[in-house]
Amino acid sequence: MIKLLKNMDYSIPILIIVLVIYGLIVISSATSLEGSSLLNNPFLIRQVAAAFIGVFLVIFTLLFNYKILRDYSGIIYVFNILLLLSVLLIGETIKGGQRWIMLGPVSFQPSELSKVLIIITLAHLLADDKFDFKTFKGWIIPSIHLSIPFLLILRQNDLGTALVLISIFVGMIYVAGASGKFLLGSGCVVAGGSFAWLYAHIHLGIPIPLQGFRLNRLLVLIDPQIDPLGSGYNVIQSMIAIGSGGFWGRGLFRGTQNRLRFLPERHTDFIFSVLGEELGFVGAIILLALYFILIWKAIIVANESQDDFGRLLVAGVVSMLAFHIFENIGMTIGIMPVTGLPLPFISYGGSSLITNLLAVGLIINVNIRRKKLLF
Amino acid sequence: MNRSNNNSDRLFSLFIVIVLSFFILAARLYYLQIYKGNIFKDLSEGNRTTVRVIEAPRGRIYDRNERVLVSNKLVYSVAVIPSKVNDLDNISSILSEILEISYEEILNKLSEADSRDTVLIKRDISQKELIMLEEIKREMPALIIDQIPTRDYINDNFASHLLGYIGEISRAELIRFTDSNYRIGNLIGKTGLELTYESYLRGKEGRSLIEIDNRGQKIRTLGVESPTPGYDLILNLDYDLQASAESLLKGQIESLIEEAKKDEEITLLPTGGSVIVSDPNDGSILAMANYPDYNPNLFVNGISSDDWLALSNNPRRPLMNRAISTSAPPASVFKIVTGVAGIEELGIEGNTEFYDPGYYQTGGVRFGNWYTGGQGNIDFIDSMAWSNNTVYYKIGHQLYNKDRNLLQSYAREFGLGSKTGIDLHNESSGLVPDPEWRMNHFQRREDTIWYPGYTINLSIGQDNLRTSPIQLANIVNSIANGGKLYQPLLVDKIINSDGEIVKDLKPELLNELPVSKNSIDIMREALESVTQYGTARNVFADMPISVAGKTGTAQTGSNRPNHGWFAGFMPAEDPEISVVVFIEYGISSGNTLPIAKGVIREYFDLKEDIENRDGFEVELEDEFEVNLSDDI
Repeated sequence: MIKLLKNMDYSIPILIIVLVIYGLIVISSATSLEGSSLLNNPFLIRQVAAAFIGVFLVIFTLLFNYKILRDYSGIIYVFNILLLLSVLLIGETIKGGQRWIMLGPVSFQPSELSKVLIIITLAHLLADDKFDFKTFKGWIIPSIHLSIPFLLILRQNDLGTALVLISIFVGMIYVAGASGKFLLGSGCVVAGGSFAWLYAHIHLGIPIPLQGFRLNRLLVLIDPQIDPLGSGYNVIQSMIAIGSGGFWGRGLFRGTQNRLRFLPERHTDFIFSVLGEELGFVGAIILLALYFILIWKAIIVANESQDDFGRLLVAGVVSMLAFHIFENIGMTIGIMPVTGLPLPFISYGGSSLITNLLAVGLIINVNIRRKKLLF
Repeated sequence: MNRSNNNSDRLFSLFIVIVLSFFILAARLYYLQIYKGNIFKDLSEGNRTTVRVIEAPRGRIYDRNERVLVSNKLVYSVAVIPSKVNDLDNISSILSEILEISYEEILNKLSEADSRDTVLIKRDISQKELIMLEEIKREMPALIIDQIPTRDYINDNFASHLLGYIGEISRAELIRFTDSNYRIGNLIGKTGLELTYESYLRGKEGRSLIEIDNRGQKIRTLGVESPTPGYDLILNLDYDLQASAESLLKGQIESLIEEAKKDEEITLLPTGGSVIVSDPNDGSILAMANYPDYNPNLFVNGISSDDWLALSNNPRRPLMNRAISTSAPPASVFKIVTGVAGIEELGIEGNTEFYDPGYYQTGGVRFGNWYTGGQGNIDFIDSMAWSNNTVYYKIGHQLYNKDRNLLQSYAREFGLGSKTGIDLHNESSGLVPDPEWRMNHFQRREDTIWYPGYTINLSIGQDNLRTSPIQLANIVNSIANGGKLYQPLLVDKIINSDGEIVKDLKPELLNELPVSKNSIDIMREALESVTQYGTARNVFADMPISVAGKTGTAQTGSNRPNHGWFAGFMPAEDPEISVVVFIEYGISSGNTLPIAKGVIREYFDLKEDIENRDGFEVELEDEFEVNLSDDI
């Protein structure tokens, strides 16, 4: 073990610690009330507890070689399906999405863990060039592999996580050898098609078969003023908050949008609005830079991986994190539709934090067991 | 080696895509925070936005059949945002001219307010004022003309003393309720149920965030927090019974005044009175009429000083809720208490014989009966029927001999000397005089001694005994229900705007009389005899409903006219309601009886109507009416 640690790129755990602390600072601002102290802020305490649990779990997983996951891939896949089914059967509904399982005092979101499990099983499936993506036949099995958990998550009304699964899939099959031009082309067709359809809906009245609130979230992307007090409200308030932050921000604990509670979900999904308002362009760019270095380091780990499985694991985690970051920040600044995706390591929420830590644990695992340089 | 390169290329491409997406985010952040940062800063700092308060509609008040008594209506109001005014003096003088409010008042309001608040200057502006304000609004962006809900006492003077009124919060109230988030210009319950149930009726105000242009005109609404309407009250009060009690009381007092004006011997005209109808089974109030009354609508938009002076300086005191605030001797009505104490302590029975020579003499002092010739041999029941004073002097003296505080302790068991806890403010506790009170209350040594004569006077409800109509209602209710004293309640339940019950009020059981059932039964028989062949027979004997009750004519001293009382319950055998009537300086108890009779008639007639509606005959009548209206 000690020998393995010598291989470790310490910048990765350090980056994670910095991100989590950064998150704790912003959470404390987003949840603090007049006159209450930091020490009895329940959000802060729970987030710190989740971070410690996550770190211990990561240390524990590092004792095992990531390759043994391949032996259990089938079991993991079945477990994943059962987990998602259990949410549909016994889950609690919060804000229109059925995502939570209550375990006594602790509740957790299986769809968070599900993302990591799908990365593991998909990496096992795609490793070692088993499929030829130049033929239609090569697409069938990986697509089926994805679609079962994907449909179960859609069934929970969790569009955000479903989109994460697609981005994980696209990132991983690209690294596994699928045609970049084809993926890019189909991405453009889907995005362009949706946009055109939305435009047609607003201006020509063409119907869209989506739930009302979800449709509104897409519509306000084109014009937030369509529904300024409903779906557009969050986006408008968030953009006012971030924009008013200016270059240096209004100072921690001083954001008026945050203080006056015009910001919705300000410690969870819209935490970036608080960060943007209080820490300004500088704070936002620092966050992006931290993410950027993390992803850059992860790409290096993937490149140095001993095997295909490790490389695909890291590619999956990178795709997942990158999509979360882009979607979450994008929605707060009005360029992506509003979905309930948390900002990795920053948003308040134990399930998400622990899952992301475990995902980064996989990167470290691949990192410390990388191939020996043959010089 | 080739494959490995291929892998590196693909990882690199993935990285490039991510880098590009990060660039998009950074570019957008630059656009929002640097390029357009100042615009958003203005928006968030309120230079281009304003928070406007949306007033919550106050809870409504309904009678027991859910007929609306108090509601809200929309009126135009004018408000000012002080932070957007350069010259407070100027705007104050212009508004003062248009609205006819004093310049100082407006200026004070504007300069005291939190500058980002909107300050309400006047509610319910007239059409003319509205037009003039719209005219000057163009030059004065700080002026806000808006529609807001205001209180509407639908039936004007109806039940005014119970419902109470609201008014703008005073400085003293602002300080007293600092924790409750009131602001200058808020309306608050001042009296009556409006005051007692303020926290339920009030609701929670909402706010809206509005983007405005540089002239202060609204561009669009950025966010709204809807107000939460106040909870509604459902009363035990019955609209029809209350209305009838009010008109009977008013009619009787006005005609007494007319009569008294012709009589030169009467030094003081009747001033007012009250009627209480309650349910003996739980003490709930079905009607509580007071006269003279007032119109609470006068207070809603700030009462004019002329109106206020007219009400507050009126010697007849129209603002006073006599039913609970009166403190007057109950006179013979108190014989109920003396009688129960006598039965319980002295072993008196219904047929116990007394002898009345026309007076009761002890220690050289004579206490006269109202019938100076004396009624000779008379039993206990008849002594109540004829309200014979001699018998009660005797009972009082014997009680005094047993224990000089005994009669007073019975009075207290019946709730005298303390508040009933009715859900209204300004209730008087009255006074039960006893040796200790005399000791503490008087200075001169001879005045501090309690003589037996005081108890003898007390036994017919005189001396310094003071009671309110609601206390007497509780006394007759306790006889009617077998000995229980309840907290009288006007409100039955509190509901939210969805009709769900927020609070179901249950009356508190104040006391259970420590007397036997036999004592109460004797008293019920005695009270029934009053209306069958006694002092009140002329009025009640012919009624189909048997009435049990007691009259009282209270001496008020200094050559002033007597107060008149009636307190009773009906039907005597199975009481459904109790009625207490009080007329201040009403000359005689006899003057209360037509009111009591009218109220009883109203209540029981009403019931008969309801019963008949199920009947066959009435259906035919209904049909007939329909045909008739078709012809028209």
